Amino acid sequence: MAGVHLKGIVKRYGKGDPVLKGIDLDVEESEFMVLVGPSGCGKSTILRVVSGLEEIDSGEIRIGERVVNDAPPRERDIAMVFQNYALYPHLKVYDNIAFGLRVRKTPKEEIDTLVREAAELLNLGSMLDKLPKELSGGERQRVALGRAIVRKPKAFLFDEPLSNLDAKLRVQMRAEISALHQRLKITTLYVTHDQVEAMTMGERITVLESGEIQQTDVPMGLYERPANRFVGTFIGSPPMNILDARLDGGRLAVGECIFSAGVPDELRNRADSRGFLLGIRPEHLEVHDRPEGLRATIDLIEPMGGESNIYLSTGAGRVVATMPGIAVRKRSDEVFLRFDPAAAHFFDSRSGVRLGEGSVPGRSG
Amino acid sequence: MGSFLRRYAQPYLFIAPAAVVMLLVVLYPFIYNFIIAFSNMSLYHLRNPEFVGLQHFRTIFTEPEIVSVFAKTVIWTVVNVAAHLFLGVGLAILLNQEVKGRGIFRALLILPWAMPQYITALTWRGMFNYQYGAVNLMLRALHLPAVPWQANEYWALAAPIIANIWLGFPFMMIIALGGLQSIPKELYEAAEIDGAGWWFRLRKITLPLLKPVLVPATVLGTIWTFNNLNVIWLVSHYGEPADKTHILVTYVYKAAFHYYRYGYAAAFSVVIFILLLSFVVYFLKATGEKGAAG
Amino acid sequence: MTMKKLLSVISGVFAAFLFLSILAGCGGGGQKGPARIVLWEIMDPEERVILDEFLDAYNASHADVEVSRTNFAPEQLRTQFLTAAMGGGGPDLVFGPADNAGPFSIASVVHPVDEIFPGDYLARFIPLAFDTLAGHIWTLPAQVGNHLCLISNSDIVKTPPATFEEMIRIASDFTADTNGDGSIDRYGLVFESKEPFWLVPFLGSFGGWVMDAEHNPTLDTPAMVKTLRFVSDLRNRYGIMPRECDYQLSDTMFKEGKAAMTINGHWSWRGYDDAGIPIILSSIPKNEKTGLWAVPMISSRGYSVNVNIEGEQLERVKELLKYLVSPEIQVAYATKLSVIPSIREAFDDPAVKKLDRIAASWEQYQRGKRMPVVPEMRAIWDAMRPAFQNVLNGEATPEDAARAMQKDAVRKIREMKG
Repeated sequence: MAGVHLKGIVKRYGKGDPVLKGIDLDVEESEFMVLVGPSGCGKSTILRVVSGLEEIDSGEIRIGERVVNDAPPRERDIAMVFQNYALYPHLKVYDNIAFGLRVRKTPKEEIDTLVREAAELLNLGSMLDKLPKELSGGERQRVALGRAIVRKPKAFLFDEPLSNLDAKLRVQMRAEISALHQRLKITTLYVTHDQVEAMTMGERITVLESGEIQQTDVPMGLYERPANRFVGTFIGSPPMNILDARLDGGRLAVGECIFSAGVPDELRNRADSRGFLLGIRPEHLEVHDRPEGLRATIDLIEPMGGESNIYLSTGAGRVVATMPGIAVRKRSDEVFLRFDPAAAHFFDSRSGVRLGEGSVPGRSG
Repeated sequence: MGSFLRRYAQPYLFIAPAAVVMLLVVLYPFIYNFIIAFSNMSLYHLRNPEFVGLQHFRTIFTEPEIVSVFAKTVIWTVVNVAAHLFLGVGLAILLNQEVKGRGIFRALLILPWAMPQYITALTWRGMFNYQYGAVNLMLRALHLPAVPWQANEYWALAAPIIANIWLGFPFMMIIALGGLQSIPKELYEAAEIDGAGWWFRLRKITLPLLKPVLVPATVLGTIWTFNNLNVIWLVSHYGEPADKTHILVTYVYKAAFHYYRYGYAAAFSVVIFILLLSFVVYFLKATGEKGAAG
Repeated sequence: MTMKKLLSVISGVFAAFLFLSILAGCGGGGQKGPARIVLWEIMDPEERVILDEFLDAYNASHADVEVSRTNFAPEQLRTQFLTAAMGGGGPDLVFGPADNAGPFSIASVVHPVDEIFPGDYLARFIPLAFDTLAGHIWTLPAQVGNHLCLISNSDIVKTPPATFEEMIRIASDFTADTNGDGSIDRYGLVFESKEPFWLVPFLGSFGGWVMDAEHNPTLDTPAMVKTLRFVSDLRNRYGIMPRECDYQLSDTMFKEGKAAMTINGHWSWRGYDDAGIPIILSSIPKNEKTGLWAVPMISSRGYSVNVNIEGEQLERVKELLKYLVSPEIQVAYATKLSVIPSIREAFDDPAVKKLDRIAASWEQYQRGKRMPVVPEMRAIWDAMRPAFQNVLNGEATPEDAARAMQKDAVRKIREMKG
């Protein structure tokens, strides 16, 4: 086992913009690192350069102590799990799992022990004699996992391994992969576009956009202190509301509403004339009837069971609020929105960069 | 019955014209061939053929040339199909990679296939001329002895085989290329990460996964080659030298359309049909393809 | 009626219509419009150009008939006509070599010419033009000849040889390795030495022939042995012919001026003219050992009438046939393509009489012998071909080859008749 360290990785295809524009990333030994971002952000390319399937244009890749920039995949001793499982359709489960060991000329008895061990771990014992096409999606994914773990590699690379599964299986496999990591403690680089997967599985998460790292942090760190507008809206569901805000005589103003509460000092130091963005998570918005705060009209209510998502129109834009329980209100109701400015995030309206240290967890009254 | 008609009348009506044509052009000649195989129909008994039972079959199996013609048929078929497979799959693998000018190579390699067999065969015949043919000119340029392509019994078989290999590999190449492109590239990537080299990937992934397309293509290729009249007939100029360059079909063709031995040729065709049928049944069983290609 | 029922009725009607139209397609068209006369032929491209001109004129002057022609390879025409006529169909007329008479007469697929034309009409043809089989004439000749002559390149050969000895001497003088690369690039004599048709003139010069009066092969004879030795010597002893000299090679070498003499038929002359080779035609020389001239096979080409044609249509076909062999057309063929006419008026036409090539060809013709038209000939050809080649390649002695020819021919004839 070993850490995976990337320094200034640049990768381009053809003549256009680079796909990776200087990636610095340290995955520590035994760590479960999730790479998350929208499609085309370069997250899969990172996996491919780490695995050696793609070469880099500049930078340095280190696995453990060894710089592997020019090493072919087989010398890097890593294992990869693909989105479409990449099982060999003509080989039985047993042979699929044994494939990598056979390539490495492992003795027969050892292969058998290792394959059965892995199958046991993944609950595949009864399926060893089946062909991939006889298995369900979840089972195939477990075979793919088996193929990865059986070799006891230095690191695991997962490329959106759950996106071909239905929602229920996805939740189950999420837990299984996490549990597997708890047991094996193998350094893992896990790529997904699903922020829920990222939040629930990652020990740390790296958010990518347009070939650049936006932020790397533990899940709650990302949630509570997003480094920029992109991270703020990408992490969390429903996404963070972003409203245009300004300072009015030192007080925070959104739309027609001026809040009595103060704003962080850093903001106050900015020129009053310059606007900025206010980010507020749906659960920090309070919907009530007293004429206090932002006036809003309910557009849509989504009951989720334990809570409800309420979509509203305000003078400053459309927002969504999350309320516990079943909402008693209905469409077109006129309501008011209130929030604790201490729970708000502030971003530069042009660069999207976080302003101030603000944002205290917890609700306000 | 009534409900069956109501349900299926329409589709059957649509199929009917095609079915009638098929009956007329396939089934009828097929059965007719079986019937005249047992008759003495020939130029001299065209209008009054008589039933002669198994006489033709006895003649066929006691023909002095039968062993040699059959052996040459086997050599012709095996060498051709093996070369088609080897060249076709090999070139397909090369063409399936990201190479510069791949489109041009692809077009060039398909060219032999795009030309009419007849023209290709006659061109090759010219190229095999002892004195002035391109093949011997090249051999001489390389300071190799010229080969009597048209005079020697064995070279005369080699010549049409070479021509037919040239003609036939593009088909296998196209089939293999199609098969290769249907193999997800992740399989190779997974294997590469597992440490598999080029040769290992070829043996353990490419070839097994090409099998579902290559098995039917090989069966077809074998039947076509076995029954390929044009190339050997034209390149050897109707079996020269001395009727030594015959495979079963050219032998039959000559009997039927040169000597008007219709009954005999029909009986010979039945023998060829049974040979091919047994081959196909055996081959499909041996390769374990019971319609399960996926 | 529901939509679905309506659809199924419509589709049913449509399917039935398709079905009927296919059946109708098999049955031949209606009888309205001009009567159609179909001709299958095996003519060379230059011959077809002339034929088309005359057919167009005929169609233009006969509003009630429409003649169409289709070109075939000789073997295809023979087989397909046999099959079609046996089935009661086929074209009205076929044009082909005289030896089509063999299979056509045995299978009774053509009218005997002497039964559909009166004797006084046939008397207008030169007697040498007809082949008789089983007491009947099966083909109305449109041209005679089809035989081989000696063709010399007059830039190289001033006077064509009269004897084999002279021929060999002239050829030896010309055979040379001009560029000194060790292989000979100029030969004295080239001819198709893979086809026994080219062997026959020499066989005749040694006094042999391919079959007797009862159509039995006569190949294992001293004459054949001498013939095989002589032709093999041309290549292997005198070295005046290239190895594996086939038609293509002979033609090319002669056209490129790399051969002094060749042996070929009237169909080749135009090609030599086009290639700019000045040619002299002469008879294939005399064998000084026997005192006999070489004996090329001669035959005619002409038209046969499908036996299924009767009544009014037969009259129409006969009228067309008379036109197709008329002196006017034959003179055109003779003057343009140097083929010898079969009808006396054309043969005696001054425009034809004055042609040197026709004269030379006619001289050779008179020294030739009719090619047998019986199907046995085919078995004999096939038996001669490999043995002949084996001798040339040095794989068999002339004695063994002659024996093999005879044995093979006898067997093939027995199998054909079986």
